[in-house]
Amino acid sequence: MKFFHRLCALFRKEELDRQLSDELSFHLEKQIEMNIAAGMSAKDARYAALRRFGGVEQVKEDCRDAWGVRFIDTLLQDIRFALRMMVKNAGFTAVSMLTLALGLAAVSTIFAVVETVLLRPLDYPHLERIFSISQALPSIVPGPVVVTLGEFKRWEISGLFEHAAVMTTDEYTLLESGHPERILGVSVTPDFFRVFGVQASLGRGFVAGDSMPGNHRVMVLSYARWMNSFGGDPGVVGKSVRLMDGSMTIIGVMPPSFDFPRLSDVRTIMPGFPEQTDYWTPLAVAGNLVEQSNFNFYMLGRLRDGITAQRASEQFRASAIQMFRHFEVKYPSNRSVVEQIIGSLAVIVVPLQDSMAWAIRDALWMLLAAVGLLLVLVLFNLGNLLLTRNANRVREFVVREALGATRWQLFRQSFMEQILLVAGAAFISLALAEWNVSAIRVLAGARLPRLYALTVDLRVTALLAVLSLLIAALFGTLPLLVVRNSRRNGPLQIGGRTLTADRRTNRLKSSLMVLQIAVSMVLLVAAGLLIQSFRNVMRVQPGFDCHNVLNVTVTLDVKRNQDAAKRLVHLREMLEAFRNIPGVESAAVVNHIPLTGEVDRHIARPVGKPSTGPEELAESRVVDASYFRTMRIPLVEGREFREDEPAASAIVNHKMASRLWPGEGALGKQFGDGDNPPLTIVGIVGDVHNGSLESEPRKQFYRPLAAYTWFSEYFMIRTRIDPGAILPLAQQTVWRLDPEAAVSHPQSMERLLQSVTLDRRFETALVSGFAATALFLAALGLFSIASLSTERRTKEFGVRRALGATGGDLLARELRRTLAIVVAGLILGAAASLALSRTVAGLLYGVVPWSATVYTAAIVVLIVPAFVAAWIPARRASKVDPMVALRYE
Amino acid sequence: MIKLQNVEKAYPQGVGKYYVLRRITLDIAEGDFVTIMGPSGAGKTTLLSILGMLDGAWTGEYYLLNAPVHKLSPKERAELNKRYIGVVFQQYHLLDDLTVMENLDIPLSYRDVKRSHRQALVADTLDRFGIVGKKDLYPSQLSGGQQQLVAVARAVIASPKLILADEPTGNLHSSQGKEIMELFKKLNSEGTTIVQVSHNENWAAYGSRIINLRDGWIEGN
Repeated sequence: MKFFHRLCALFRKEELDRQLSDELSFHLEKQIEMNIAAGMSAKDARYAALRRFGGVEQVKEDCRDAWGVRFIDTLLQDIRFALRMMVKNAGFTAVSMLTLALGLAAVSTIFAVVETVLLRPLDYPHLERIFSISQALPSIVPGPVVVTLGEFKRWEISGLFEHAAVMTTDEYTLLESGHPERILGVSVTPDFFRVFGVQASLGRGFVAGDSMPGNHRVMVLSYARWMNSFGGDPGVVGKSVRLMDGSMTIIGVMPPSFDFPRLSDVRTIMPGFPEQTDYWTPLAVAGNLVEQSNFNFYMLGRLRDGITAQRASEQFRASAIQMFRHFEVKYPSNRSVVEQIIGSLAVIVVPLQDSMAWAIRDALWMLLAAVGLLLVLVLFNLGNLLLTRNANRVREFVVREALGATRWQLFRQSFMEQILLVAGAAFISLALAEWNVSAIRVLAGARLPRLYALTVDLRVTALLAVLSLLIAALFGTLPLLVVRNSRRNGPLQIGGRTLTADRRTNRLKSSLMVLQIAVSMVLLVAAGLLIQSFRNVMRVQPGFDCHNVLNVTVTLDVKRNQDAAKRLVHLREMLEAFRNIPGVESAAVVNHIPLTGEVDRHIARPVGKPSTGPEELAESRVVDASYFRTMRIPLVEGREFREDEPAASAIVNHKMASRLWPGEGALGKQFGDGDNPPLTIVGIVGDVHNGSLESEPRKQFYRPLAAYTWFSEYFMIRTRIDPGAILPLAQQTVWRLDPEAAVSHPQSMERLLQSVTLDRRFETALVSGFAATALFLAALGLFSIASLSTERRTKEFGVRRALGATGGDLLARELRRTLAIVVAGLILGAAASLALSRTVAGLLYGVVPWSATVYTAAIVVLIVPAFVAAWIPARRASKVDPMVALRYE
Repeated sequence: MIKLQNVEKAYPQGVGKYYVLRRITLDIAEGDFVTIMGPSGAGKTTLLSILGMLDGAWTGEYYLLNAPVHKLSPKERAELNKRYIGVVFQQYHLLDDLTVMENLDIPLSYRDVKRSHRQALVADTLDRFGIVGKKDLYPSQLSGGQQQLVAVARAVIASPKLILADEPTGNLHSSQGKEIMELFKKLNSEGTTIVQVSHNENWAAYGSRIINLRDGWIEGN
C-alpha cells in the first residue's frame, strides 16, 4: 500500500504541492493572527510566525520525504542526467555498448549451450537413477560399445534394476498418408517407457505380452508423427496402420516432451539411430537374436534405489565374463578373441544425461572458460575506455563531493549512468545470443547432443541480468576510485604537477595489452590455419560433379517385388521415366551414394596373383549403365557398362587398378570378390571420395545392376534446372508407376557435400568468430590504452610542443609507444602459436601448422586495425594546441 | 629583436568579438630584461604565448630578429621557436616519468643535435645549475624550487636568444623565487633576452623594463 501511495503521489505531485502550500499558508496565517492578537505589529507578527515555523521550504521538504516522492524524483533526475551524458558522448556510448554487448552475447551463447547440454536436467522422474549401460572392449574396438541381447538378458534379471530395456533401429514404409512414406523408429523391449517413468498421453505403452510372437504388431507413435500423419486424431488408438509389409495396431501416443532416442543424443554410443524417432515397436528378446550375440543393442535402465553405478558395473562385468566363458566353450576356435575381450572388458554404467555429452563435456567447459576470459578482456578494455572518459570528469566528481554529495550519492549517479549503458548492451546481447543460438541449432543441432532444444531461456537471461548488475556496479565504482586517488593529492588539485600517469599502472596495462594481442595472434593463426584447411578441403574434388544432382531413395513393396528379374525391370522403368521428366539431363541408380560413408566393403584379390599380406578392403557399389555419365565420373580407360551388361563384369577405379596391377594394364583382368565368381574388368574410372573429402579415396569397384538389386535403391537425377524443382515431379513419376513405392530422403548432392564439411565449417566458424572478437577487442584495447595515455598527457604534449616538438615528432613518438606493445604482442603470440602447433596439427588439412602465409596474414590482419587504433589518439596528440594544453589545469 | 605592430587577439563572442589584446605595438631589443605586469585577465600570458609562437591565431605584424612571424607557416614558426626561444612555466611542467637528465635532453632531442653532443650539453648544464647530484631523480622527488631550477635549465640548454617565462616564481616561496630571479639576471647579463610575466614588483625590479597591460591594452611601457 505504501508503495502504491508513493506511486500515486508521484503522479499527483503538483496537486499535493499546492495542497501543502495552502495548508502551510493556513497555519502561518493562523499564527500571524494569534501574534497580532497578542499585541504584535503585523510585520513583527509575521517574522515571529516564520521564526516559530522554522523555514517553510524545509517543512515542505520533510513532507515530500514523508510522501516518498523525493527518492523517486532523485532517481528520475539521475536517469535524466545519465541519459543526457550518454547522448552527449554518443560515440563513446555506442562503442562501449557494442563492445560489452559482444562480450555478453558470447558468454550468453556459450552458457546457453552449456546449460542446455550439461546443466538442464532431462525431464524424467528420478533422473539420477536412469543409467546408460555400455561396455569398453579396447582390444577389439576403440570407444564405447553397445551390448548383446545375451548380456541384456543376464543383466536385466540381476536384481539391480527397477526396469531395464534395450533398443535398436527400425524402419517402415507407411502407406497411411496418401503416398508411401518412410518412417524411422526404434524397436524396444517392453520396459522401455517404464525406465523413463513416462506414460503415453493417449492409450498405453508396452506390456510384456506385446513382444510375444503374434502380439508384436503394435506401435506407439511419437507426438510429432501423430500430428503429421494422423492430424492429431484423438481416436487413433486401436486403429490399424497400413505399412508396406503388413499392418500394425497403434496402442498409444507419447507426449510431445518424449522423443528418445534422438541420434545426436546417443551417437557417442551407437550411431545409426534416427535423427527424430517417429514410433516405437516391441522387441522380442528371444531365439536367433540372442544366439547371434551381435553387439547391436543400446541398453538403459533405472537402477533400484541405493544401487550404485560402480556396484552395477562390477556385477555386470562378472556376469559378462561368465557369458563369454560359455561362448568360449561353445566356439573353441574363437578362444583367442574371447580371451582378448575378457582381458580388457569393462562395463560402463553412467547416468543417461552424462552419457549424452561424453564427447564434448570438457570442450564445452573449456569454451565457457574461454568466453569468460573474453568477457574479462571486454571489461578490461571498457574499464580503460571509462577511465579515459572519466579523466575529464574527475573534477566534476570532486566538485560535487566538495559541495556536499555523499559517496553513496556519487555512486548512485555513476551507477545509474552505467546501468543504462549495461542494460542497453544486455538487450543487444540478448538479440545477438538469440541469433547465435539459432545459427548453432541449425549448424550443429543434428550432430551435438540436446542442441535441438537450444534456447536462450530464463537461466541465461538471469545470468545476463546478474552479470549486467555486477558490471554496472563495478563500472559505477570506477570514477569514485579515481576521485579517491585524486583526493590524496589534495582537494581540487587534480592534474597539479603530475603530467603522466603512474608508471607502474602503465606498465601493468601495457603488459596486459601485450598478452591480449598475443592471445589475438594465437587465435588468428588458429583461425587462419583452419580457414586455409577449409579452403583446401573445399578445393578437393569429390570425384564427381555434384552440381544439379538430386538423389532420392525409392523403397519398393517387398512382397510385390520378390522376383529379382521383375524388380530389375521395374527399376529400369523408373529410370526411363525419370529421364523423360522435363529438365532432367540423365538419371542413374546406385545402391550406396558417395560421401555418405555407407558402402559395402569386400576383399578384392587379383586372380592368378599370390596374396601379398593383409589387403585394404575395396568399396563396392552396384550401378546401372548411365551412372558414370550421370555423376560425371571420368572414364579413364575401357568402357562404361552397357544396359545388358552381364553380372560378371566390373569397373574399377584408378586406385584399385594401379594397386592390384601396378605397371600393367588392368583391362580384361579378373579379380575375386570373396567366394563369389571372379569379375572381369571392362573399364577404369576416376577415384571417388566416400564419407569424407579429407581421407584418401579407397580402392573401389562397381558391378552392373544384373549382379543384384535390393528393395531400396538410390536414384541420382542430373538436372538442367534447380534440382529442388524436379523433386515433386520425381515423386509423382514414382507413384504413377508404383503407387506403393516410398520416396524418401530427397537431397541435392551439393547439400550432401556441404553436410560432409559441416564439422569443419562449424569449427572454422567458431574459431574465426573468436578470433574476430579477439581482434576487435585487441584493437579496442589498444585504442583505449592509447587514448587514455593521450588524454592524461595532454599537458605533456603541450610542454613538448613548447619545447620545440613538431606535430610529426609527437605523432611518431606516440605511434612508437603503442606499436611497441603491438610488436611485443605479435612476437609473444607467434611464439605461443608455434608452441601450440602440435595441438592444432590434427585439425589441419593441406597446410602445415607453421605456414608462413598464415602467420604473415595474421600479422597483417592484426597490425592494420592496431595501427589505426594507435594512429587515432597519436594524431590527436600531435594536434594538441600547446596553449590549451598548458592551461589545462 | 622583437617588433610587434598592432597585434590583436580576439575570441568570437556571440555575433561580435571579445578582445584579449588590442593594438599591441612594442619593441624589445636584444639583451632586454622585460617584465609584463597587469591584473588577471589583462592578456599577459596571451602576449607571451604570441611571442613564443605557441599561439598562432592573432592579427598584426610580429618580427623576431627581423623574421616576419606573421607571414610564416606554422612549421616555419616552430622552426624559429626551436632556434631562438626557451620557455619557463609557472607550473614547471617537467615530465614526471623522465629523470632530471632526461628532462633536460628533451629540447635537444627536437633540435637534431647529435647524441654525443647532447650528452655533453646536458652534463654541462647540470654542472652549470649545480644539479649534478639530482640528475637521476624524478621530478616528484624534487622540491618546487628545484623543479623550477630544472625547468629554467631545460629552457636554456639549447642556448636560446630569448627566454619567455610565465610567472616563473608564482609557485615558489620568496627565497626560491629570489634564486630563480638571480639566475635570470645572470643569464641576461650573459646576453640572453628575457621576457617574463609577473605580478610581483620585487621580481619586476630585476628587469630593465616593465610593460603594463590592462584589458588587453598597453597602459605603460
